[in-house]
Amino acid sequence: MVVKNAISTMLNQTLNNNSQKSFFFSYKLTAFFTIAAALVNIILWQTGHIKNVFTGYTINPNATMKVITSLSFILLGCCYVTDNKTIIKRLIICGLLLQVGQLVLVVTGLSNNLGWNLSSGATLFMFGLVFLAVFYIKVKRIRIPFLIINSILYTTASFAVYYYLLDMNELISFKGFETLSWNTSILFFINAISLYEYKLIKRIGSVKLKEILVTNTHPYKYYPFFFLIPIILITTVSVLTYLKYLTIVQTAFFIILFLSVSSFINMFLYSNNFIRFYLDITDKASQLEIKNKKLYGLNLQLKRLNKKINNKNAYLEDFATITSHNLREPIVALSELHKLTNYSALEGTLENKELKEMYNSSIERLNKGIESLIQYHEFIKNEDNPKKETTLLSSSIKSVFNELTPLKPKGTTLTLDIANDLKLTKSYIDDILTNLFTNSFKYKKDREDLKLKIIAYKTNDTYKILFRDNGIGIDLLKNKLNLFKKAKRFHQKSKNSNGYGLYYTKLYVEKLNGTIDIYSKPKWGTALRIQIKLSK
Amino acid sequence: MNKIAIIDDNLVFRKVTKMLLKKIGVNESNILLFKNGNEMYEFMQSYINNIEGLPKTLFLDLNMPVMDGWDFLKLHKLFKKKYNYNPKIYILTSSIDNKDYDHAMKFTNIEGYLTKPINEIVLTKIIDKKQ
Repeated sequence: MVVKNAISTMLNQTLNNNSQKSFFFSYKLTAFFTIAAALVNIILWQTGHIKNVFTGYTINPNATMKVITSLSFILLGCCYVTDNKTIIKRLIICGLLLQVGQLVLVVTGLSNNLGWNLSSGATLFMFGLVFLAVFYIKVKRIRIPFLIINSILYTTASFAVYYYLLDMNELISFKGFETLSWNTSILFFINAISLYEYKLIKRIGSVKLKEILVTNTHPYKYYPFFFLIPIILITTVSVLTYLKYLTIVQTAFFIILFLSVSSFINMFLYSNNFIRFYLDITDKASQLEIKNKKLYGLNLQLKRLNKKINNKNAYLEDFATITSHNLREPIVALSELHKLTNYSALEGTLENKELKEMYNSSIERLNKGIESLIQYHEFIKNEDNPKKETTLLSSSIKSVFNELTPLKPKGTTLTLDIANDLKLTKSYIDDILTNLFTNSFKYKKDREDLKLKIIAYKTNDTYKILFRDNGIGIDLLKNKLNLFKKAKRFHQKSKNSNGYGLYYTKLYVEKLNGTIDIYSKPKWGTALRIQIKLSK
Repeated sequence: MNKIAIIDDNLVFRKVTKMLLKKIGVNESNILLFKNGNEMYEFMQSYINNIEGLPKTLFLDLNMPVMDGWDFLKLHKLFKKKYNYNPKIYILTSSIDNKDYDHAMKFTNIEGYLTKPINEIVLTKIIDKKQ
């Protein structure tokens, strides 16, 4: 795996280097050809050798590459050499001005009096196209106009090149093509191909290939040859034909052969290597997916852990709250009571009965505070205990009810209606029931016997426990939002409770994967409904 | 002299605060005692025609049965809007829980936050400031 990665990195590096520095890009060759051909042409005109050397003159004396055409080609060739936008812009403006100037001369009829020949109409047209194409690819970088303009150029140039070889006389009878030289057509043709290639290099250069495993079959490795081979082949075959080493028929044969071979290569490469290339990508993608899944799992674990820690933090905070509220108050009260006693003794207003009552209530409160701490500790302890003892709901009810006998008001009756029994974590259900029972005991009506009823049954996926008493009830409209909050007491009667009963009940019900809600009315009593989600 | 109300469910604290107020020279007849927020609120409602007769200083415990300090503060806000009753309310609690303090600071109608036990010095400052 490591080796594979290293190889792919290495490959990527060489590829990136290739795309930036490769000497074999055909546009470089084209730039060289264009400038060299133009310079040679100008020198030939200057030295008067234009008739003797290969310039197109031998085919058609009227259609020899002109000096002004050569100048335009030099401007064009220079555009490839630099990437400086301002320089390219100036070159393009000069080139276009040259063509426009010639057009003006033709239109105004001044061309006849000049000592030199103007470029042909087709040449002017193609220069217009090629400079615009360079503008759109090197200055503006807009794709669509470039593709349209360059395609027109490619079509026009290839039309001229091939028609020239097949039937020169017919070609020069077309308007604008009368004095178009064959060399000029070839230069336009290879320029059009090179511009396509230049465009492709820019596009591929912007792709980041690092994430993809690149093999030797990657098209990246050989696409420059797709451009280089036709340029070399067409130029060679044409020159050979021109010099009469090849007949027109042979040329046509070579070109058709080349077309068929290149289509075959294309077919082969696209169908074979491209599939391999995409297989690599698919492989990479599936690896990523597996990694993703693993990551998801880890994330889930982390979330669970986080929740646990959050729970723990909440417990710690609760612990602090209980200490601050339920323990500190009675302790402060006792110490204050001591001061009060001394003061009252001095003043002579000491009332023994009242003092005793205050001591008693403070000690009672201290007791409750410690009790709630112990209760809370019990809760957290159970939380951490992985082995949880379970018990049936019915047996928990019986044992808790019996345990609470000393607190039970006289005449209390309990009716059970358990359709389906359920096994529950013993400590949780015991605590829930203890809280519910003691609440009912505390808030019973003074002149009525307490009647309790518990109904339990199972529906599709929930287990419901209904608890009902005929106590004094709570005004839900006033207290609904506070019902299950910490340290809330609703009755003056609840003087000696710590306000944590319903809060704990809710915590324990949640531990059983359930919810609790309440219905209560003053004088009617209270009904609680616990709904436990059954896991399947 | 202005009246002072002590709202606390614990008899000890009602007595102690009353004793301290007496010590610093507050007349006993000006000290009103309430067992919870609800009692105070009902008292306020019986004075809607005589807002001037209500205590100008309140010592309010937080943790009380029936109506705790928080609920009283909420109700007082509404009452204040309606009847323009603006006493100085001092929270007087045994809680040293930061959460309580932060929560109390969200109420705009309280004047201060005191933690039990308090002494004459603190009370003198409060009562002097008022007068």
